[in-house]
Formats: sequence, structure tokens, C-alpha cells
Amino acid sequence: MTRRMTTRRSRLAVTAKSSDRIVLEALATELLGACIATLKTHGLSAGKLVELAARASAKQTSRKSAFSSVLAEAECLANLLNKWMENPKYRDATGRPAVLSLGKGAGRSFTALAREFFPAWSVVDVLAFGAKTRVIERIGRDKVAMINSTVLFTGNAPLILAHLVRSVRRLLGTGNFNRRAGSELLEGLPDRTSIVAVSDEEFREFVKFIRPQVSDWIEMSNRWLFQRSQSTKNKARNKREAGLQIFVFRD
Amino acid sequence: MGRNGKAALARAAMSAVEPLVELFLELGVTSPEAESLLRSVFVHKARQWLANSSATTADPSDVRVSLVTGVHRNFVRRILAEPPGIAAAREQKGHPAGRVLEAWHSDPKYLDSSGKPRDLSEKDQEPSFHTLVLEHLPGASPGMVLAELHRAGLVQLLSEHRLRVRNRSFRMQGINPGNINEMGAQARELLETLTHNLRRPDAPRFCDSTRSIEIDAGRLPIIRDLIARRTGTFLTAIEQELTMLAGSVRSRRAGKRIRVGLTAVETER
Repeated sequence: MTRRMTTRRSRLAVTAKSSDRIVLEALATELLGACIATLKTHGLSAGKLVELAARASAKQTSRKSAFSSVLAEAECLANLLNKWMENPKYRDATGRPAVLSLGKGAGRSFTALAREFFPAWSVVDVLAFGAKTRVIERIGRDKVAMINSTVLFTGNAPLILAHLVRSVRRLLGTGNFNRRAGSELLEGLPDRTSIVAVSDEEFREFVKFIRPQVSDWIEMSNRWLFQRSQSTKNKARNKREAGLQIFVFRD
Repeated sequence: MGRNGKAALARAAMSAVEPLVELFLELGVTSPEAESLLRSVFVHKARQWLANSSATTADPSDVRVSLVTGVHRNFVRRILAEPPGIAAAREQKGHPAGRVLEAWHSDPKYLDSSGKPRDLSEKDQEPSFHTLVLEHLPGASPGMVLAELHRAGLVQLLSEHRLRVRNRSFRMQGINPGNINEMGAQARELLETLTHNLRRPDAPRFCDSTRSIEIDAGRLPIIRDLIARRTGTFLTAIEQELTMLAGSVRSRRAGKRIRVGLTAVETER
């Protein structure tokens, strides 16, 4: 009797394990399928993707990967904007990022920012890059204003893909962290979703409604992290990038 | 009264009304709004005048008021249903420059990536204030519109001929009857909430504050700008959420209605 029960128990355990395996494989297939479908829209063939998947599977991917180099310039620009926004020296009397001169003199100028964050670039190239990503605009011949505090990738396929890869990596990282976190409610990293079926028109209204909120949350998060990272007592500590990423989606 | 008599009366009335028109202009009251106000006062006064001069105690009929005032009886009925004031239909049209402010806050061309109105060049750089006016208030001179908006305190002139919008709707800033009236209403609302919370601690209305934080006075513009932008976004969002909630509740059950609002106030000491 005891023997029969033990056998049944181990059979149940085997069944549960194989069932978990089936679910895991189905989810892995779905994840790979979603990635493959997106990569195909960027012009990669099924055969090439199989080859790339085999290559990726064979070696350990490093944290310093392809997206880092593609996004490096955008990150330099984001850091430049951060300083322009957050450093009191670069604000005008109303508290907003000041219109900066393109003069070569020491002190507050766009030239100084460009040299700090793009040491190998000419100021003209930095200006062109800023205009292309719609964050700055020229005022007359010798001044420049910040018109957006977020580097926009819209319409730029390689940058969007690199941004996507980084986002997926971050999302997977948060998922992994939460998988290992304890059962206490506040041990995991926040990961929330709101989802309801709506019409095209309602969706457009929703985007209009939520855009300023999203921008504010990102600005608040950025300010908190930036100010804390600048404090002298934190400067020497071992640091890893952290942040908040928000996006609107439609299935 | 003959034609000459009416002309003399019109001249005399003009002298009397001119200072009032000046005041209206200063307060941003438009001609259609002033006309609507005058018509409303005219109709209400006519009814009172007819009642005083009548031998009976009954109120004069709408038809009689209509005959005396020259206003159609349907309008008389509508006007007398409310206290004297500017008709809602006229008031909604508001100041023409209000269309420029509204477009500045909603036309994607004039918004930044966060969906908020961006600073504009006066005319040299596109998108410019000049184009904004030409597109949304055709026929108006951009320079005149700018002067009017600046006078009302609704547009801030920045360096390098750049402009920043400060409000979505046209309302004169400063000490004027409209703003004093609103100040009174806001003070009353705050006191009502505080009094309610003292009397009914079991069912309090929301009333909370941040801790006062001491800052360098030189950083005040930054802090004011931050509070204005952050709180403005939040209030817009909560207003939309409340409106949606109110709409969905109304369709299900009718009953006593209560007006609910949220006011945010910056304090400095």
C-alpha cells in the first residue's frame, strides 16, 4: 500500500514536471516568435535569424553589447540635456533651461556642454544631431534653445531597434529579479499593467491624456536619480544604472 | 420721442457708457458679452418697471416685457429664468484671442514631446507665434494679438524674442472684479472644507499638505515652475478622471448631485 502511494506520488511529480516543461517551452516559443516577427520587419530573413539565434545561443552575450554602441551617441545627448535641465547654472530666470550661446568663451554655453559630452565632435555636428533628434533648435545665428528634454527616436529604425533591445533586456532583468524575490509584497520591483479594449478614437484620446503624465513621471524619476547620484557621499560607491521606463502599448 | 430726441439721448448715453466700455476692455469683456449683459439687465429691469407701474400685483407677462423691450418673448422667458448676466452661449465664445491660447495648448505643432505647449519664437523660427495667429485667428494682426495677450498677463516675453504661454483660457490677470470674485469663492471653498473636517472628522474631505521645505530664494523660479507644471498635469488628469466617473454614475442612478473639486495651492513664507 505504502509502496503503491509512493509510486503514485512520484508519477504525479513527474507529470507536474513535464507539464511545467511543456508550458515553459510554449512560453519560450512565444517569446522567440515575438522577437523573430519584429526582427523580420527590419528586413532579416528567417534563415539569417536562425543563424543569428544559433550564434547568440552558443556564446555568452556581454552586457556591453551592440545596442550600447548604437545608443552611445543618444546617451551622450541625453546626458547633455540632463545637465542643461538639472544644473541651476544652465537655467534662466523662469526656472527653465536657458537659451544658450554658441560662443567659445568659458562659462555657461552650449559649446561648453557639447565639448563636455561629445569631446570628439565638432559643435556643428552636435547641433545637427540635436536638431535631427528634435531636442534643440537654433535661435538666430549664435544661440540655441532646448525644445524637448527627451531624445526622440521616432522614424529612425536602427535607433528604435537598439532601444527596443535594451528595453527587452531591462524588462527581462526586472522579471528575473521578481522571479527570485521573496513572497513579501514590497520585495519585488514595481511592474504594473493597465489594459482595456478600446476603439481607435478612444486610444488616440488616451494617448493624449496620458502623455503629459508619463513625461512627468519620467522627469520626476530622472530628477530624483540625478540629484542623488550627484551627492558627494554616493560618488565613491559601486553604481549600476537604474531607472523607470514607461510606454503605452496596443495589442 | 422724436428722431432728434433719440439722437440726443444716444449721445448722452454714449458719454455715460464710454467709461464702462473702457472698463470692459480692461477686464477682457468682449462686445458680444457686453451686449448680452445689457440685454439681460434691460429685460430684468423692464419686468420690474412694469410691475411697479402696474395697478395689479401680478407679474407682467413675458409678452408684455417683450413688447416693451423689443426682445422676442422666447428670449425674454430664457433671460428671466436666470439672474441678470452674460448669456452662456455668448460667454463660451469668449475673447477671440482665446482661440490662439487653446490652439497653443492643443495643436500638436505647438506642443513639445510631453504634450505641453512649447516656447515659441515670435516670428523668425517655425513653429512661431506669428504662424499660430495666422492659422487660428485669421485676419488678426499677430503683433496686436501678442500685445493683447501680454497685457492680460497670458504670455510671457522671454529673451531672444521667444514667448511662453501662461494660461489656456483668456482671463485678465491682476486685481479686477472677476478675479476678486474667484478669490472669494476659493477662500470660501477652503474654509468650508476645513470647517467640515473639524465638524465631521468621521467623514473628512481630502485636505493635505507637503512639509514646508526651506530653499534658496534664488531657486524660487525653478520651484514655482516645477510646482505649476507638475500640479497642472495632475489637476488636468484628475479632472478628466472625475468627469468620466461622474458621467458613468449619472447614467445609472439619478439623485442628489454634489459638486466636487480639487484645488492645489502653493505656499511661501
